Amino acid sequence: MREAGQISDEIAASPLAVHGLTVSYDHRPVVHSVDFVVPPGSMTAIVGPNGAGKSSLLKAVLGITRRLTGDVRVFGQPFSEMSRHVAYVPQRSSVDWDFPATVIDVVTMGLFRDLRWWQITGRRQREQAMDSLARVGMEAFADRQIGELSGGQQQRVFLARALTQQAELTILDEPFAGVDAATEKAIVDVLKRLREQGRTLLCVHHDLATVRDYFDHVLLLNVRRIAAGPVESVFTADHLQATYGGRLNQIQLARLVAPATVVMEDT
Amino acid sequence: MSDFMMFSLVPMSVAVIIGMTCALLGNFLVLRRQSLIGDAISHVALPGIVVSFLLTGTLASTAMMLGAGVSALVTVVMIELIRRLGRVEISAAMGVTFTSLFAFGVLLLEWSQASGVHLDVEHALYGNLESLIWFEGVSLASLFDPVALADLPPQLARVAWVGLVVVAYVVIFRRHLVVGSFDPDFAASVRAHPVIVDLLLVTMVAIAAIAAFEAVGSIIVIAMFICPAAAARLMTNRLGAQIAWSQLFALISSILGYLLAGHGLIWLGLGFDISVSAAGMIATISGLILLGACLFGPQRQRSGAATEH
Amino acid sequence: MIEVWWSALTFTLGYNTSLVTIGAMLLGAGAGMIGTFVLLRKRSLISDAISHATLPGLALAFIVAGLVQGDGRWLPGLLMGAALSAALGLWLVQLISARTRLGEDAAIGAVLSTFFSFGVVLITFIQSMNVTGQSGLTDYLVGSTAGMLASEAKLIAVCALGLLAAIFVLRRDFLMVCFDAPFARTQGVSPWRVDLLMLTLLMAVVVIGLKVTGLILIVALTIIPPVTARFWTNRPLRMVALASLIGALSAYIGVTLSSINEGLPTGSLIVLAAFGLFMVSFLLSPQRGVFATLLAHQRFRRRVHLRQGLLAVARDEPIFDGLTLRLLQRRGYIRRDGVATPSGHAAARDSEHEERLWALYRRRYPDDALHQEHSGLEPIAHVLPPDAITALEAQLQPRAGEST
Repeated sequence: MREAGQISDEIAASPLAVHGLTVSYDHRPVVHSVDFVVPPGSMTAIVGPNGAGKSSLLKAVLGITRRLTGDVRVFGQPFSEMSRHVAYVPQRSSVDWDFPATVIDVVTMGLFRDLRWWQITGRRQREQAMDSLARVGMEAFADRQIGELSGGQQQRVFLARALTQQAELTILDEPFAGVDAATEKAIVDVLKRLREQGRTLLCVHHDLATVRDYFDHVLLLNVRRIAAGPVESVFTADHLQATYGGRLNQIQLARLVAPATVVMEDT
Repeated sequence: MSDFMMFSLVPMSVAVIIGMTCALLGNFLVLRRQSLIGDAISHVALPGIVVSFLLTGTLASTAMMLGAGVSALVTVVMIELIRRLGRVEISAAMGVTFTSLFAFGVLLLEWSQASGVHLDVEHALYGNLESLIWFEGVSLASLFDPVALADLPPQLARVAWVGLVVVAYVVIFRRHLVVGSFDPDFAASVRAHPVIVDLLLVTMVAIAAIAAFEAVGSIIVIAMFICPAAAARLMTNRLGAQIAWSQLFALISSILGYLLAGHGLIWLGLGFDISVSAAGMIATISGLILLGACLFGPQRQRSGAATEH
Repeated sequence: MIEVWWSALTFTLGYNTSLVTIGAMLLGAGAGMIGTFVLLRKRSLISDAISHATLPGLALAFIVAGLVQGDGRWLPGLLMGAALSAALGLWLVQLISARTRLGEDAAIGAVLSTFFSFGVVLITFIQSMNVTGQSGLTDYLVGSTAGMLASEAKLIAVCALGLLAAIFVLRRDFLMVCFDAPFARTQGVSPWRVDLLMLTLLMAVVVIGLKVTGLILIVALTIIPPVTARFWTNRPLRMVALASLIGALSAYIGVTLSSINEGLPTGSLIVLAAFGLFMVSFLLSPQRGVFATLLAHQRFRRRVHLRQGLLAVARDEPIFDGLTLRLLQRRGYIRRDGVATPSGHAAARDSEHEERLWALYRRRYPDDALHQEHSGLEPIAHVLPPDAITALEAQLQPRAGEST
């Protein structure tokens, strides 16, 4: 047995390594004893049925909800010391879009950690925010009230806020939920460009049909870790069956697992 | 003029400062849908003050402030405990807590009255703004006369300090407040400590409620926490503008309410030469302003798009 | 003192006191009942707005009665005034939260503070009027049964009884709307109308209770008994019954206590009695009480930590968590320096075997496994029958080397 406190090279290099993570609500584990390591520069999907604890896992990793047990490391350090290097895009439905703020207000929230209380949000910050907005194709909406945006536009604004954080690791919770096809493509493009720059992405994803196209790594989760690793070796019928139980029928499975041309055309 | 300096200047200033301070905090309460925290806290100022009186035997303001402050913290902790440990819905948890503490305060009050103290429930509820008389305030010159200034009712300085503390809190924590109100999960992920900032907000609410409680009673406090900020929300979609509107509404309610309470019935031509509760009038005006905003505010409707969930 | 309380408790302190006690108990029962439905509808604090909104009505009725007959204290008139202004307040709360972007919390707060303030303005106006019985009006703030007339007590008791009956008759409609408003609509029950009825009855209870507990504390009678009842049962109709019992009991204790001495505020004592019952339930309820919950949580946490620790030992992984290390040490599974003992290795092997059985079970029967709440934490022998385990063991052997 290794000495306590010793960390493997893999964990030290990984933007996010989770070990023995358990989260529970009312004595019911929603995430149970999960281990996984996100490879640097990867684009990893977390996939699993409803109630599988995908969002709870993210929230526990980010210190938003408390974890019962487990260890979370960012580049080998405890998360609390490295949180600056992690950006987070919550579920769009988790906030009150009737809040009196404009698009640019929300995007500059991404600069929260760079600004001390006596500093005002100046032109430099605005430029940074505009730059992020331009990357998601929303610069024309900078002064729009957030409540007036469509669902897809709101999601783009959230992504822009994460971009201003300039983090090594970006964690997204269902970024494609309820957005239009154009937005989905725009978001995927932005994420892929981030990966090209060597950044790491971790994303709760609900659409099994697009896992192969968007992601290179996958974590199959149903309260426990079912399987994790590169998509081509892990995203198999066996593992999906284990994750979803009887909720997927054989035809669906076959379609998902085969490198289907039908799916490619859709995107 | 000398009448104004002596009888009206101080109560009016106190009302304005309290009103604007409470309205400033109220913006965040309304946005977080926590308006009723202000309601709960202003109810529990009473037991706090009674307990501190029974313990220290004086009505000295420091003891009272301390007592009310402690009771506000007790309230918040109790609400959270009942909510988390008992799995009780938040508004019910609030209802259990503040009514019980208020009942406890009333019981203690009646009990201590037997020993001949001057403190009563009505005073606690609607204060006594009119009693803040500046005896040395005989003319404009008094404003520059150190002797006369030393005679100013101490409540004025107290509410001014509280106002300063609250403004400082809002200025220092403005980004924390905004991020935490809009998106608490994101706030936690950037370590904006939404829980601590939340607790501080409640503490500020308590401090403002206590300072106001002593001078103007607890109803004006509840009204000022909620009405100006709620009305302001209906006027604009920008947070900065909303805060400015809330301050303006608080200012108008305080001054107009105070004047109407003193002279309104004469102006209305009813001929009665009597005055009614200034605190009550101020709160009533703030409610009327909100009514106006509900009917005519340019942003009174929820924004249409993007509410699919 | 004790004797006085005893005679009050046994209804032998005189006709008036007994009448007041019974009236208050009926009121408490009614408040507990209707409060349960309001709690289930998650709108508890709406009664706060209703009660505060009664003040201007009370004051206006007092002024009118005073101008007509020289004395403003005429209970039926006062109650009618209170009901009218409470209805106006309620209507405004509904309107503000439905038609503007403000939440119900802001609507409640705004209405309660504005109405109450206007009431105070009217009261200070009355104080400068030449009408007798002014002190009677402030009794409505914190309640007083000391000087209550027999006729007043009778009125309260009769009204409370009527309300109780009405709530009893309507209980099933209320429940249906509380649980599933869309379903209620398919059953020909209009949720909107039931809601309106519910709030009207709530308002009636509040108005009737004004004289007994005062307008600030009547809220407590509609909130505390239902919340208390929730600690003892999960069944809605039982909760309604229990809440009405608790409400009646609180009123009984409170009113009788207050008859010990003239100056004791009835409303406060009733509320504090209810709060006492709440605290007992909050702490001691076997299912939802604080002690039970904390104990269960502690046990659960230890179990998770122990399992995690043993698995780490079995897989030869480092353990960082302090609690895990302490638990393992305490059971003699590892030594102080973190090296596993022979018994630790044995326990680790056992729990890894368990874990593998569970994993296999989940793979074979994924749908069954989803329904097992503690799946994996309970010893598998506690959950599955022995033959099922034997079958799993048999399947496990050839695959033992593999792991997911």
